[in-house]
Amino acid sequence: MIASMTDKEITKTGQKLVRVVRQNRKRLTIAQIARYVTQTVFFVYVSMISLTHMYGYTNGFGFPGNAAGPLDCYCPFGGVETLPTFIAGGGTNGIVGGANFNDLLLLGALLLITVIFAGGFCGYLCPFGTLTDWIYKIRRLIFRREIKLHPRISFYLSFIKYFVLVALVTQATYHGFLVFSEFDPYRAFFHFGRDWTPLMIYVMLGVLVVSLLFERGFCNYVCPLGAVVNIGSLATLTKIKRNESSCTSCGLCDDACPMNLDVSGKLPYYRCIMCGECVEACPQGDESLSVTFAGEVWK
Amino acid sequence: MMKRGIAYPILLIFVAVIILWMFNFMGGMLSRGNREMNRGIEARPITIEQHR
Repeated sequence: MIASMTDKEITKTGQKLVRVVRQNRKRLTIAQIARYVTQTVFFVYVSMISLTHMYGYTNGFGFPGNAAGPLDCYCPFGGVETLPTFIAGGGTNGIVGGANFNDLLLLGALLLITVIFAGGFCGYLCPFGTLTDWIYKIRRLIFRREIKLHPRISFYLSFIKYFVLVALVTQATYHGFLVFSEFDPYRAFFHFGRDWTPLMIYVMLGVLVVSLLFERGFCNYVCPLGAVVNIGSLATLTKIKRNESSCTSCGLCDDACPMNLDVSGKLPYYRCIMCGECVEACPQGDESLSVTFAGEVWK
Repeated sequence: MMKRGIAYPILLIFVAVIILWMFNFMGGMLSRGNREMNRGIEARPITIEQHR
């Protein structure tokens, strides 16, 4: 269809598409509301667990019952760090100091979720991802300018997180305790100022700067758990599928993607956090971009 | 023009809530982990038997 149009007609159609998308984007869809609510609920849940563990319900904090474990019990990355030691111990002993057997169970649950739902953990459940989302959105309210790296640069930068992953697992295995817990920004933030060390504060400031500059910058380039999710997502059943025959290559999906992926080109599905912003932004609806499970569109 | 459905978020939330419920169910285990943590980080691997 585009081939038979004049330049003027193409420009007009493009402008119309942008207008339609902008009008649509003013109204949140049910799927977007579901995502924002889930993110908020999990953020509050983890905050409550941490407060219950640190101060106890008797002091007026957190959940009733005063029985929450430490935050390390709720982080699948503890499972990643202790996995080599656990395997070396024959699966019967060898949990590195600071980790918990629960971490291994959570890692298993995370991998299961990843195989079924791809990067849904990062997009819906991770409280630290939610925090970076909020930081970026607040920044955009004040300074509207968006900084987007070229997808190719973003692709190369995303390899940093694999180096971080290997370094942290190696260190945890060598030293026999959760080395990352000394400066883990997720753990530091959810301790809300308690037991903060200068190193934790510097790392958190670094994360804050990255999150202010780039949407999901920490998740995309640094997060070692993001690296694990990316590796797991290579075997996922859920993917964003682009129908090339109905795609007009308007690039609105690329602009909408918080992970800076080349959605309209070689879509690297394993880095997708399944936020669905590209699908919402697509003027063609699910004729062109859709979330699929084993080839079938999620209804 | 169809837009994204909500089957994906609903199923994801369902699975996540079940997993969290399972973890809350293991509250006793978490409390034991809590006591381990309160003893401080030990610079050597420990066995599951020690955890228990």
